[in-house]
Amino acid sequence: MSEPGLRRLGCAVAEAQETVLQRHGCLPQVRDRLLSHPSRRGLSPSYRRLIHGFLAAGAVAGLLALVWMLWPHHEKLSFKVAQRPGILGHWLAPTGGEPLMVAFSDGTQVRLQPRSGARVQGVDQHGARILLEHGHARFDVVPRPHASWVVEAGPFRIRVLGTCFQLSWDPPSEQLELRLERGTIQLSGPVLGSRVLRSGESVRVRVAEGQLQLASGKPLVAPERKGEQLSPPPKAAPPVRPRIAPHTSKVAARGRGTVGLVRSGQYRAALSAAQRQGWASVLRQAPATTLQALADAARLAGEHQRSIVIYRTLRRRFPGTDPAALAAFSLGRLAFDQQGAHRKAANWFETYLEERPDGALAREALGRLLEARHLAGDRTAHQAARRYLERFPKGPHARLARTLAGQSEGQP
Amino acid sequence: MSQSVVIPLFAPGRRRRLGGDDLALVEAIQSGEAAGTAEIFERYGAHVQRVLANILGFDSELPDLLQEVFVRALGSIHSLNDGARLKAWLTSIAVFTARGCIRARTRRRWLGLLPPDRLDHFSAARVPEETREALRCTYELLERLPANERLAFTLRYVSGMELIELAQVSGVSLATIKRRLARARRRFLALARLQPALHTWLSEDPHE
Repeated sequence: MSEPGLRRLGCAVAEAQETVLQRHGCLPQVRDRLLSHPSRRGLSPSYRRLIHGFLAAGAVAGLLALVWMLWPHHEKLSFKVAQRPGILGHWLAPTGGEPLMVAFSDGTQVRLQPRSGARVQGVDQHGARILLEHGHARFDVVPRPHASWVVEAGPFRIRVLGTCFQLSWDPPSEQLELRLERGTIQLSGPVLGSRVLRSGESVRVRVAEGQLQLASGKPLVAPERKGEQLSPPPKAAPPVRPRIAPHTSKVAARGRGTVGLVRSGQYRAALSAAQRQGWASVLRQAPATTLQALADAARLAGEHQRSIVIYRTLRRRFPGTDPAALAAFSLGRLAFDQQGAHRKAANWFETYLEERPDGALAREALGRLLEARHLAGDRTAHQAARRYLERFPKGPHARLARTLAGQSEGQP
Repeated sequence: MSQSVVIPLFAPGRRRRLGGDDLALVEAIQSGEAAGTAEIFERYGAHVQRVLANILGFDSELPDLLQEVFVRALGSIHSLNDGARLKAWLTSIAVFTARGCIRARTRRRWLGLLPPDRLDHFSAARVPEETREALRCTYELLERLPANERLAFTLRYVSGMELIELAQVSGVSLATIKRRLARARRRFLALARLQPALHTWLSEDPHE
């Protein structure tokens, strides 16, 4: 194959085309277009095609935009913490004495009060799962169709549909307080079982004492479906005492001594009272409940070193008791949150689990244990993760546990 | 993007032929002479049609492309300084119009759109079957060449242009057109080896 061959082929093609052009050329047709139809000459055919293409593309784009607008959106919610993008699972704690605002993309807001700690454990298109580790928060959930919000506090679980409520959870005293301003929620947990609360109702649960207090004239509503009961009460719930006042100040007024001051939130007053009595004397002679209350007061007042001393004293003087086990959990939390000593924190959480394997804080302790081991770089974190998943496959640390357990697959 | 073209009009009943050479024709059109449009088409319509058909083959877009070449030419005739170069200038416009068409078809192929209808006038024109098959194969292979190489190949071997003229109408240097032509030839021959219908045409001895 060569140049002469190409010339031969080209000549044959040209001759054939010339023959056809003489018979079927388009000259008359194009001449008429050019000379007889002025309105069709202004734009060349290619420009007309281009314009038609743009018009078609515009129509398609418009149609797509319409479909996009009408299509139901299933985007995950997002959230911001103090105006900055929030991260799932991160520790949220107000600093500087100011409340911390967590704002979700659907308008829902969580106002975390000072000396409180929480985490956003998960979000989806319908809502979020929030863990109040301790302290006080106000939740203002925007009502939406199919909204699904879950707030967990210790062993309690609150299912929210659009509502506004305030929630407090104090792990050492295992006390939950909830005040529902409007809407409806379902509260589940020890002592109370599973109950639906209506607008205006308040509830206080003291797990250790098995007390349930309703702070409204309305009776508590029975759960809508028994199958929704998330965890059965460990003890038979005492009868509701409808005459108990709803406000914390009234509860505080009835508090007696150090324990009463602490339970009413007067931490500084409780610490001052102990100071007046003399710390050495208090640590040597005070009963377990008083020591526990003082340690909690010191922790909540920001005197972390003093609270550690009191918790350790409590464990030394009253080994094997519930307050001692709770002190182990609190010491773990202090090591984790305040000192960043994750290995030490893991040891304290493990201690709590050994002493109270089925305690009210077992889920939190096991979750914190795996998290602490993970942050400490401990290679046994995956073991804690598996333990967690076996016991609490839907718990707030389940996502992290699954990740850690999955990473360990294939390792010896 | 719109191209506003003012073309001198005249009533068909009052057409008259402009005499003289291309220089006079260009001057007449540039000065608004009404008969210029008909005259330029009369002189070079067939040539432009042939160039387009050589490059692209016969298909349903040929009339549109022919019209487009003259719309473009008449719209930019004021930029033509040397009226004696009118034919080469029109050829150049035809070449660039064909190149735009090839590229647009390539884009349409990527989008999965149908190509324009191929017109088979060859059987009606009593073109031998052997030649018809060679022609069909040739344009099938040319579809697979890059636009610039296809232009160089068809203008050189089908239209029979000399290299200098080819470089001029393509708007590139002689060296560039030689390189393009060499690449196009190499590519076409490689593809043609797989086409038995072209073996007879491309062999050293056409009678073997």
